[in-house]
Amino acid sequence: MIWVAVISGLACAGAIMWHMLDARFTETRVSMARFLPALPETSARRYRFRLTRLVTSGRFWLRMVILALLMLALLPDFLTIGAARSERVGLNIVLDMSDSMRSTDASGQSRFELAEAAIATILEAGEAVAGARPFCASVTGVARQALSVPDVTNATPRPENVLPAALRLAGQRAATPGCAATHAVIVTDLPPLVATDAEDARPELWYQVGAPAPNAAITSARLDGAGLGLTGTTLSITISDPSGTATLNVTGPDGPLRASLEQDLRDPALRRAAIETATAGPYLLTLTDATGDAYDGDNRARLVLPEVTSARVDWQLASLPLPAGLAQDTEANALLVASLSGGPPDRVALLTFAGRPAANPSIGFFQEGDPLLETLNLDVFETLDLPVTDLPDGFVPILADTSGAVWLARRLSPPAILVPELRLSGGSDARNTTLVLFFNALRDLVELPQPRLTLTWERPDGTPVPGADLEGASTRPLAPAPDLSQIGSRPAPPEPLPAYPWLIAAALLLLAIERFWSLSWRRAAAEVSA
Amino acid sequence: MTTSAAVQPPIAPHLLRRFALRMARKVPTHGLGAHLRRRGGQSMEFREFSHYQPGDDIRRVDWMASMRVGGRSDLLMRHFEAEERRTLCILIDGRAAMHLPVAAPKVQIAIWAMLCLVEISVEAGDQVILGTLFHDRDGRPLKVSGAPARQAAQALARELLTPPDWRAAPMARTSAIRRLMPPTSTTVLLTDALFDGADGVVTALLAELQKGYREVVIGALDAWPAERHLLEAGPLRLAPLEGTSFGDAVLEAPQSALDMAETNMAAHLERQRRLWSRGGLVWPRRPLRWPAEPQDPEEWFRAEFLSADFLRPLLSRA
Repeated sequence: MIWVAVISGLACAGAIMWHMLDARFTETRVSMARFLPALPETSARRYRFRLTRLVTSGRFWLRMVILALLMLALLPDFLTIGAARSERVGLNIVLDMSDSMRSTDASGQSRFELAEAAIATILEAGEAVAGARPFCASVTGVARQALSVPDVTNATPRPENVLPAALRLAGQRAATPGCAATHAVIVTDLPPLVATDAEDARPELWYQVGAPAPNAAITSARLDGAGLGLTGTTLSITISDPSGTATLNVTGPDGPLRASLEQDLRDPALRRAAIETATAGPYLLTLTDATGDAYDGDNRARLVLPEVTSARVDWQLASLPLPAGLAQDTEANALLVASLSGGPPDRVALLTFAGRPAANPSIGFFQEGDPLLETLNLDVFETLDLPVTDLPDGFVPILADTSGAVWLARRLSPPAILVPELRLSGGSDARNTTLVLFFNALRDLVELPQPRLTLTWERPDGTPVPGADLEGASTRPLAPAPDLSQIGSRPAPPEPLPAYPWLIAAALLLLAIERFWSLSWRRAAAEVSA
Repeated sequence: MTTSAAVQPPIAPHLLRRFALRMARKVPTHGLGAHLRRRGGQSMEFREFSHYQPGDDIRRVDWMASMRVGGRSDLLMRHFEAEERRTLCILIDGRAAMHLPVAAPKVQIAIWAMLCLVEISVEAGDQVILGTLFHDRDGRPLKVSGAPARQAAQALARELLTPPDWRAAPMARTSAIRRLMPPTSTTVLLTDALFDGADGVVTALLAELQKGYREVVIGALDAWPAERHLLEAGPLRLAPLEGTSFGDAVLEAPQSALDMAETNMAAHLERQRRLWSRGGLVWPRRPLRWPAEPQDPEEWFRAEFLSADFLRPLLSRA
């Protein structure tokens, strides 16, 4: 592209310089020439560049006007002149070419075959409605793979809305040379969008094909990483299996894995499989033996499980062993877990304190919504008589009694949390409460972001199927076929007339004038030099 | 300039008539002139008295004058002008070089001069012969009189104004003119006289046109100041002319070269004058010369033409 621009620029510069070229001599004819003695040749240069020659050159400006007209003609959407209302019935049939149209129903017919029959019906109806009026039709295919998402995301940000919006957009925009569309019919397996009532919109009909059919699909995968109580990563895979007969085959980096599916308690159509201590690397998921599987593009998927590292802590707490999901590290930048002695250290730390008995164990202040208080029963807490401590410098209270002494405090920088020391032998409520506070604080300080897993669906031959999770929604209701007699009932909106034929005609006319002008000029020049 | 203006006399007919009458009264009857050769005749216009000589027609005796002057032997005879119609032949040099300079071509000046002379001749009842030299029309001179002479002159002017073939070498055909010319005539040659003439065709024609009662008036046209101005304008490339090519070189014309060219031209004209002179040649020394930068050629013609020297011998009446 840059070379085209450079070459065009050089060509323009050359043309301009050529028009600026001016002879420094005059072609002279005198009647007494034969009486002249031999004249000396001039030492001056023959030609020079003159801006005035460019400015005053009518032919140059004429050529520039021709060029401008031709460039404008290349932008047919840029210039229009008026609008014409036509009696023509032009059907723009937009066919959904997305992968879900391969779905088959109970009869074994694919939705493409149903769409083919629908298009034949639409054409017959169009011809019948048009009657004596001119009739033409064109078919435009829109596939999810070919969608330019940024074009439509402004209006429809949700991915599942991209394809319907694109179908509608194609119905409004697409035009075939020689067949200006007056009506659009969208043939798809997607539920219809609400028809637009815009005055300038082309009338459109939404023709949905394909009866609802059950579909088994690999829908999502999630990674539960190693943490406080877990010693390894767990790969959770969710499948949609309305029939409950599907088998999930998982092949990891170390070979086939056993994946037992369990019913999801909230959605009976979903089943889940959990693979513990999964090894990092590529995984292949395959769904087989499903009964009533309408769409096969979502039965095979690949994912890459990333390496999950354990959190590193400097564990100096004697009353509790290091959790299996954490790694011991004595470096100064590791999280320090220890009993508070003296002042709090200037590092990331979880500190337990022995403190003093609270003068009044009633809660005077607590930070509502703080994650440190998750699952904590404050009524039980008040009965436990846990120790308190004075608020150290740099800390803010999270949970404090009525005298201002704190049970729970947090420092923002460097992050540190104060919690009461563990009472592992002090009865069930005290033990549980101190453990909740301790592990809430530990989770808060060492919590790792869960790696996101991306599924890539493919066919058995390895062909990628983008957006297969959206394509497999085959259980949606089927809308009744539209009333095709509406074709032509509403007058077609005026179609803007393109200006490019006039621009080209004007350019040709000016070109003829320019050629005639140049011819006259050359003839005159030839006569002078003849 | 429009084509219509190019083939119309720039000077109004009534001004030309007035000018012709004034010339007839003022121009002296002696010296050079077309009408010196006119003879006495039978017209109503009195010419002179003479003493009776034996053999004179007795009917011409002016008895009253003879009674006043003297005795029987002193009879006075009245003589009258011979009412011969004059024939004016106008020849225009039609070479390509006559179409120069482009701003005010010599051929245009010659055409206007022809149209004015035709107008005067028509008013005087003279017969007119219109012809060309060095032109495709050389073999078809026209002999006309009265009003049709105007149309014939305009038609000839249109033919002369057609763009010339710059490369063609000039060639004159004179036999038709010679055949057409009466024993008494005045020929006006409107030319710049810069053609070569080495073949002697024009010289022979002019000698023929000076025989007997005939005479030739050269209406010399001189555009040298204008052409010199063109040559002084700066670097130039000389375009080919009349069979001569000057190459593709860009040249300069220094003053010395222009002076030399002027000298060459003067020598050439003097040589032509000697060659053409046969006793009936009138070639005034002062040509009709237009300035270096002529304003409106038509305006210039109106101002200068009537004072051209070659008109005086044409319009005198002896």
